[in-house]
Amino acid sequence: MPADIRSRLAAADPARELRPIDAGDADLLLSSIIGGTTPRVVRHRAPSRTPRLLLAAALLAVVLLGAGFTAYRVAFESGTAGDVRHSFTTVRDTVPLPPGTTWKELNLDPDGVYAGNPDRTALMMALFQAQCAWVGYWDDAHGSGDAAHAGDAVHGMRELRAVMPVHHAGESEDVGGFDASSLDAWDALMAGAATGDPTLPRQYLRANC
Amino acid sequence: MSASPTKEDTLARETTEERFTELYRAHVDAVRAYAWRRGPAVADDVVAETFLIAWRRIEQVPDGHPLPWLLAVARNVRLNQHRGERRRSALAERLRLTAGPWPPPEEPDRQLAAALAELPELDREVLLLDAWDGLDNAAIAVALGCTRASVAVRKTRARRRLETLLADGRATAPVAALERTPDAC
Repeated sequence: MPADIRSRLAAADPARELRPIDAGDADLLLSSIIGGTTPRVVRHRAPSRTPRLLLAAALLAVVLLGAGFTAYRVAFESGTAGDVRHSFTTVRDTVPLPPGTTWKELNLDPDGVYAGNPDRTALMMALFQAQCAWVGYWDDAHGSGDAAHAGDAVHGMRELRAVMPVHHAGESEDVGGFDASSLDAWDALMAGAATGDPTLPRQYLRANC
Repeated sequence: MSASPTKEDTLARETTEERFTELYRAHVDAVRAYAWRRGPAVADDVVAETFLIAWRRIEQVPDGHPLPWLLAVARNVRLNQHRGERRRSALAERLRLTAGPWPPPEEPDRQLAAALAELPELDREVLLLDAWDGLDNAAIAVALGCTRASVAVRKTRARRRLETLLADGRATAPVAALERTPDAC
């Protein structure tokens, strides 16, 4: 490529002054990947659920089955996109949403095979939507000084917490659910919201919603 | 509950971890820079997803030069994220597809930005993988899933188109509603 075009492009490189990744963030992400999963089954994952690095360490420990990975070798129960959509229509009734909020259509790979029980997969997807909805509801209320609705949002977050399926250590990844570190992260977010601290809620929104 | 791992399983996993850790440490900054250039808001997501996929498919990662393979994964992750979003305007999507936060505020090159936005997505990527990510044609071919020959042809064509757009001053701000979906090699 002619030097003038290349140098003009290089001058416009938005990462010209990008600093290397923070060592602590890098270590956190590495340990989450290695510690959280076994390189055995490839899963197709719904893209909007991938968290940013700071929360990735905790949230990558969430075993996301069926939240979008296509399984090339499925050793356990699995379902099609249709199975997950069908389950979604019923399980979402068990997940509360803020007033005025409606469910979004699931973005599923039509040819994907979703590892894990379809009901559990659909529940996880419903919870992900609801988490974003309640944290967003809290952020709006907090931003407008509406303490009453902010309190409603914290209550809504606690209701979600009560229905979050738990992934126990030693269980197959395909079972899904929230492991201890991701539940702790959600508890910390709720605690912050309850005291009016927007740090973790806004970080969550930026990373996940 | 799974059976306890054997000594061989443990040794195999430790070897895999070492290999992945080496891969990660060597290339996380390059993958992050690639993702950041094309969308800083989701760059960390792309990085996490890319290396998670690399961990799960560690046996498929090339031994000699894994960066192009990693960028191919990152590109697919990024494109899947774009396809999953439904509420952005056509303009916002075009701007995000072109490459994110440029022109840099301290040295705006809006004409270049507009000209690049006019190129087909794959043509643009060929030029940027060269100029920004420092890949040669062989590496670009891996990153885009093309042959080396098609990369060479596409790069020549893309350069000529860009030069024409810049010389004629015909490139305008990317307000056209046409969405440029990624094409194939």
